[in-house]
Formats: sequence, C-alpha cells, structure tokens
Amino acid sequence: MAGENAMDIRGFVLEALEISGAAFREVKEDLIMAEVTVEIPPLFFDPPRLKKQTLNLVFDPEAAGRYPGAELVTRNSPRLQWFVAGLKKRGRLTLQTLVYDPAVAGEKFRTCRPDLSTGGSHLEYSEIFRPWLLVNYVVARYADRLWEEPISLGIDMSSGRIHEGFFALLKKAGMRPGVPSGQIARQVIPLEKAFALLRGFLAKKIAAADRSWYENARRCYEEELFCLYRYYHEKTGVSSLNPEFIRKAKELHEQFRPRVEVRPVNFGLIYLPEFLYTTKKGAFCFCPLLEQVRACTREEIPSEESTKEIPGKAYAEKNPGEKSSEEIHSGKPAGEIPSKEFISPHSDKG
Amino acid sequence: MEKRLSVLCTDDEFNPAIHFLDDLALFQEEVANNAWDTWQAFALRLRAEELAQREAGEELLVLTELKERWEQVGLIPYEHQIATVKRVINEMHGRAILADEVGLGKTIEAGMIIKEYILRGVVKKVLILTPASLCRQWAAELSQKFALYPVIARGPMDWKRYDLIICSLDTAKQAGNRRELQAIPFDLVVVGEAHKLKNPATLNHRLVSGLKKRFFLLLTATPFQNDLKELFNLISLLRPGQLGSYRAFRRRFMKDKRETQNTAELRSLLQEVMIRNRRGPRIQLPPRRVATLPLLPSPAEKEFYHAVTDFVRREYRRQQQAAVNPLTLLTLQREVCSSSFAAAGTLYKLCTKSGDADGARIVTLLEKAAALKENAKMNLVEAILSQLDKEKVLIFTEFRATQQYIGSRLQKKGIPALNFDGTMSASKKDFTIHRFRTDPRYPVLVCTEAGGEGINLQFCRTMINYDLPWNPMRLEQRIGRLHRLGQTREVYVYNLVTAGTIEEYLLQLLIEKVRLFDRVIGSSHQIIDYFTKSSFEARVMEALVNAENDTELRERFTALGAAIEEELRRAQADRAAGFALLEELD
Repeated sequence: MAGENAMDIRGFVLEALEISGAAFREVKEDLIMAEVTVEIPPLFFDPPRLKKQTLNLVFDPEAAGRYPGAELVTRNSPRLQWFVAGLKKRGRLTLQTLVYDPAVAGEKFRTCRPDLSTGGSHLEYSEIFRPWLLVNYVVARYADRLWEEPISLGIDMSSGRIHEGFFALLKKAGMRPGVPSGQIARQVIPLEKAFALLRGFLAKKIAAADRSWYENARRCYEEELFCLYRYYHEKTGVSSLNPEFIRKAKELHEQFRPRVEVRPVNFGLIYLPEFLYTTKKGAFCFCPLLEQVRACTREEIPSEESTKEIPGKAYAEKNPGEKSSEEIHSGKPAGEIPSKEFISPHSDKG
Repeated sequence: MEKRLSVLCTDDEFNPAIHFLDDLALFQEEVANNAWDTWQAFALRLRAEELAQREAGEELLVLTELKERWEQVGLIPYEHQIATVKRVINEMHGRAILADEVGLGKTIEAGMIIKEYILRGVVKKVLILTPASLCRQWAAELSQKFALYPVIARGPMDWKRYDLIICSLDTAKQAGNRRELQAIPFDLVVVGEAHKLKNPATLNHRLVSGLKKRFFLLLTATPFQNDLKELFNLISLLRPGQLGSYRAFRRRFMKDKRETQNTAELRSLLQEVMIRNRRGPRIQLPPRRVATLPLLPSPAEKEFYHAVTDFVRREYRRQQQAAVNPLTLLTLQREVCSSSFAAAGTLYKLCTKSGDADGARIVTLLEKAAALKENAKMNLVEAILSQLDKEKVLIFTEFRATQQYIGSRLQKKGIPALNFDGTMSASKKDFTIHRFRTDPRYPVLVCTEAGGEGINLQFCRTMINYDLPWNPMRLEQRIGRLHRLGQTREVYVYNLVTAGTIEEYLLQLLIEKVRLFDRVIGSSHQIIDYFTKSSFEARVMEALVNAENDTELRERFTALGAAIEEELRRAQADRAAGFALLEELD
C-alpha cells in the first residue's frame, strides 16, 4: 500500500505497542520510547529466551536529526517490518458483536424506506443478531511479476448472501467483544458451504477482473517460445523433439505461467443486529450496517412478546430445537454448551 | 506467433489456476482452541498485511527499502544503475547481460535486481555463481549494501537448505554437484565474470545452460575479446534464438571473426538483451590528482641500492649458471626499490641456500642493509601525513616487511596505523576496514597489494604509493580502491620515487608512454588486455640487467617506451571495429 505518511506509520506502531502490552511513552509527538520484550532466536534456545530491549523511534527524517541514535521508522524500514512480522502472531480470529443504537437505526430505517414509516410515531421493534463470517483475503496474481489485492468478504451464515468490502463497513462501526446477549438468528449455512460459497464468489470475481496481466504474460511467453523454437529449428530441424528445447521451453513456461493465490489473512465471527419493524404494510427486517430492508419471513415476524421489552424470548420459544451460532465456534449443538462461559466477552483476549 | 505453433501453450495450460489457501480444518481448530483476539489486534493484523503488501509498479521498491542503509554505508545509487535495474525488470523480464565497463558497479546493479525481486515477492531461491576468489566479496557486498545474507555454499546440503547461495563456478561444476544443482528450480541465477562461459564446450557453459531458472543475469565487462563467436555464445546462453543460429549469425553479421557487418541491426538485437554503461559525460568520476615526489636517497641507501642492483645484474646475466632463480632476482630488485627491510628478507634466504663464494657476497649486502639508519621515503611519508590533518590515508606497498616497517615508524611517531594484508582472515579484514572507516583514532591504513585486492575504500581519497608495482595494471588496481564509483571527492595519489633508481625510469615510462594517470585504465579493454597478456615486468627487467650504465639504461627505457606505444596503438586499431559495436550500446 503506497503513500503511508509518517503519521500513519506512527499510529500503526503505537497501536502495535499498545496491543503487545509494551511500556512506552511519547515525547513531543516526535519520539516514541518503548521497552519491548524480544525473543533470542528460538533456533538456539528452546524455549526461546526473552530479553528486554529499549527502542527510540522517530518517524520523519527531521526528527531523526533532533534525536541522535533514534531509529527512523519508515515504510519498508527493517523496524517497521519487525512490527509487521510480530503482528502475524496476533489478530487471526475475532468474535465481535456490532453495537447499534436502536434510535439511530430507526432514523436510518425511516430514511431508507419513508414509505413504510408511520410518520412521527415511535416504531415498535425487536432486535435479532445475525451471525456473519468475515474473511479478509489477499489475492495474489503471479506471472513474471506479482500483484496483490486485499479483498474483504462477509457471508451471512443464516442466508448465504455475501457482502464485499465487509471489513471497511465494520471498521467505522462500534464493536463489542463476544456474543450478543439478545436473540440470535439460526445458522443455516454450514461452515463447509460458507467456505465453498466464498470460493465461488472469489473465483467469479477473479475471472471477471482485468485480464491484461495474464494476456501480457502469455504474449511474452509466446514471443520467447517462438525465439527458442526458431533457434532449435535452425540448429537441428526438429525443435519439438529436442530435449534441450523442451527443457528450456518448460523454463519459460514456469517464468510466465500465470497463477492466482487466494490467502486468508484473518477470520471474524461477527453478530450484526437487525431490527424487525412491524408497520401497516407488514413486518420488515432492517440491517442498519448494510442499510438493507427486506420483508420478514413468517418465522421472523415478531410476536407481541418479542418486542423490545423481552428480547429473544419469543424467538427461543418458537424455535426450541434450533442450532445457534455457537455451533460455528464449537461444532456442537448449542444446547450442550454453557454458551456464555464458552464464548463470553471474558474469554476474549481483549 | 501463431498459437498453434506452441508445443506447450494450449489455452488450458496457460489459463491462470486459482489456488485457495484457506484451510477449513485449521480454522475449526483455531476456533476450538478459543483463539479469539481483540478487534484492535484483528484490525491491526490487517493493517500490517497492507504495509507488507508488495506491488508490481514501475517504481523500484529497493530505493526506499534501502535508503537508510545506503546512507549509513555511503552508497549512492547512480542514475545509470537505477535505469539499468528498471530496464531489466520492466522491459527485459529479468533476463539480461549486464556488460558495464569495469568499475561502474555491475555488482551493485545485480544486488539491486536481486533485492527488488525479493521485495516484490517473485524471487525466493537465488544462486550466484562466481570465481572462487570473488565469493566472499559478493557475500560482503550483499550483506553490507543490500541486507541480504547469502551462504557461500560448499556442497549439496547448502544449496538445498538455503535460499540465497553463492557458489564458486569450480565447486558447482564438479560432476556430482552439477547434477544436484541442475535438479533445483532456481528463481534467479546470477553469473559473475560471465565471459568464462563464452565457450559452449566448457563445463562452465554446460553447467549454467543446464540450470533451471526463471530469471537470469550474466555479468561481464568483456562480453567478447577476440572473436564475435564468443558474443554469440553468450547471447545464445541467455536467450537462444536472439541472434538466430550460429550459421545465420555468421552469414548475416560477421565479416570475419572480429569485424561485423549489418552492424546497426546487430546492435539493435544486442540492445534487447544487453545493457552496457560506459564512462562518459553522464557517468564521471571526480578527478584524480597525481603527484610524483622524487626524493634523494641517503649515501648509504644509494650504495645499498647499487650493490644489490649489481648483484642482480650479474646473477641475471649468468643465466643457466646463476646460483639464483631469475624470478627471485626480479623480486629482489623490486624489494630493494621498496625498502632495505624487504630486500634483507630475500637476501637472508639466499644466504642460507647459497655456497661459500656467493654466500660471502650476500652477507656483505646484508651487512649494508643492517647498517642503514635512514629511510628517506619514510621521512617523506611522515612529512606528507603531518600536512594532511585528519584525512584518512591509504599507504600501499608490495611487501610485508616494508609494511611492518612503515607501521612501526608511524607508531613511534604517535600515528596509530592499521595493517591490512593477504595473510589476514576474511573476518579480520572486514573488521579492519570497518575500523579504518569509522574510528578517527586510526587515520592510516598500510596495505599490501595482495591484501588490497577487491576492497572498496571510497570514503578515503588520499593514497601514497610507497613503492611502485612494475605492472601498470596493478598500479591501476591500487588507485581503483579509492577512485571508483561512489567516490565524491578529488582523489590524491602520491608516488614516492627514489632518484637514480629503476623506479624513476619506470614511472617516466608509465606517465609518458602508457599515459597511466591521464585516463582511467579500467575503461580501456585494449590496455587491460595488453598489460594482462604481455610480460611487461620481464621487459623492464631485461632493460635493467642489459644496461651497462645509467645512460644505457635511459636509452633502453626510451626504446621500450616507444615499442609499448606502438604495440598499444596497433592493439587499439585491431579491435576498434569489434568494440565499436559494444561502445555504442548504451
């Protein structure tokens, strides 16, 4: 990602220090002094030995002049790479619930569908949380060059619909660790299927993307191959049978062969709130994050009791045998798990 | 090209395959292990991924990646080097011959290309093949300047285990090693001194041709020397078919083995696969100032010099009957020009081996050496150093005995000097250079020629030649330690010459006939070739021993100078046509 300025890098380093639990302090917004614990290469010691190290970090060359001996941290600098490498041990999985103010959601609902809102009066609602699987990928396209692109997808585990750019939406929203305390929609899509759906989505996206990189690689390969063919043809008259030609042609193929690698960076299990509104025109589900309104299915229509005052009760009574989203984490039926102990905010490292 | 022509390229084989690296089982295991992390860590992990993301743009990542390191080690990437790296990566698909003139930084260009490809994530396994004598130098350059830490491979375990390998051509071409190496798919193969591959019948050529490689760099300042076939072979190794078959090449482009026809077309084909940067208005080194400092020897020194020279002359003329090997006599004559201490070592060895009659003469010489109390050259060195303030100074001598004497005299004078010679281990050499560069307490490095081979000291700009090597190429190599790409200041070379000795005549010849100090010899293949192949030292010795007196010696040197001048002129004319092809490649 090009164009990070000194402030971006500084922000990243500060956050990295914060989540690592290192002691640090800022000096006049120029210098960060930190005490970090580093491992002496585990190659030599098992278990690895730890030692304290003091870092004096600055982020722009001018500041480097003011603090002799301080390390300048810039994009691609070894120290930044050190932080980047260190973070690869963190943040692989997260379990979060999106927090959304019902009043704000109501306002949004009215804006999205003014035709459904009952002018001025308070909307009766109930809240239900839908489990989404968030996967952040890096799509790498290789030929004799490499292009990388981050893609963030979310899949609704109760309907199978996929939303692209999911993380960017969540980044702006308020998150709370753990599962929600309210009503949770049934997970309909098994994980295997969710992974398959995501793969299918990505395959289509990749197929539809700009193919010039691939066409260029192919053109180069064919030019090189022609040159090689001509040489062996002139030399021996039988290029295609010449083992040296075949070997060198394979070498060229290996150089230009296009391939795509899709690598997941991290996974999140996210509970998104949906608000169920009963209007004169019927019952509607509204997802304020995605700003999507749809008519509720019969199963989803809230009863009198399932409104705001007693969240979750009606849903639980109506669907006594349903699997809950806990299955995503455990692979076991929900009823068998003391869910709040198993996946509670307290079990979250944060 | 018609798609049908391709034997490997069917649409299916070239369609990009998608590999999904998501692993459901691993994900489930992590979930089962309750490996949840905070939202902040999750977001930061993604941010770290973005920061580590590699791009395939036209701009070079290596320039920002290594900016700080290069500032620390004093490396300034030159425009021509950056342009070369961009062209190799963006236009030549990582397959090129880097044929810059000597001293323009081919190794730097290759290092930048290796690093750039690694940063872009397209290269992991790299093999560098080079003559054994340059392996350590490559390793040092890559680690100091590119933060790449190669392993100098000795055998199959090394090249299987490590990703960045330097291996000598001699090791690599041994039958067992060759088979092993040719089975490994390398992302990038770099061959230094690639003119060693000009003959396809050699093991060197067959080894490199048989390596599996995606990207391929050949480095040589002399892609051909005597025969255009050498050029054809090198280009065909890199890109078979670029110049057609040899028969077609000969018919179309060769008048004879040195002269080309259809030169413009040939040049254009060469430019597609070869980059040759030359010195010129765009690539210039700062000027070099050469001062020859004649000095008068003390009477005792003069007497010792003449006594040894007479001994050498007499023994040399005896030829078959001589008690002493002519090569030893040559060395002794060079030593006596350097210092009495250098000559004394050889005289002592001769004394222990010789018979009674010869032994007595040698003992007399040894006694004269021992009686010497003055050293005019060293007095001058001290005078020069006293005027140079805090400037770092490199003193070159050919002999270790002289080196030790210089060191001890400086020590007495309160000037700490570092010694650098061929007997030191590689790590000690590295440490000594580091100390000389960084420690202000050590302003002087006293270096022997064997030790100084291949070291780069651009941070220093003053050199004293305590004695003169008899081969101009060696003198040029000495100066090249300082006067090379990366040197930003004027370079000062002081030549100490004792009046009335052969050094005086030699220097005159080098200045007037070879015009050694007027140009950078490294830029001229003709001169390099001439002095590499001709027995220049033997001719100097012949002139010395055959002269009966100083007048005759002067005449003989004048004749030698005229002969050398003529031979150089002919050599230049002879190759002009062939080299014009290369000289217009940039």
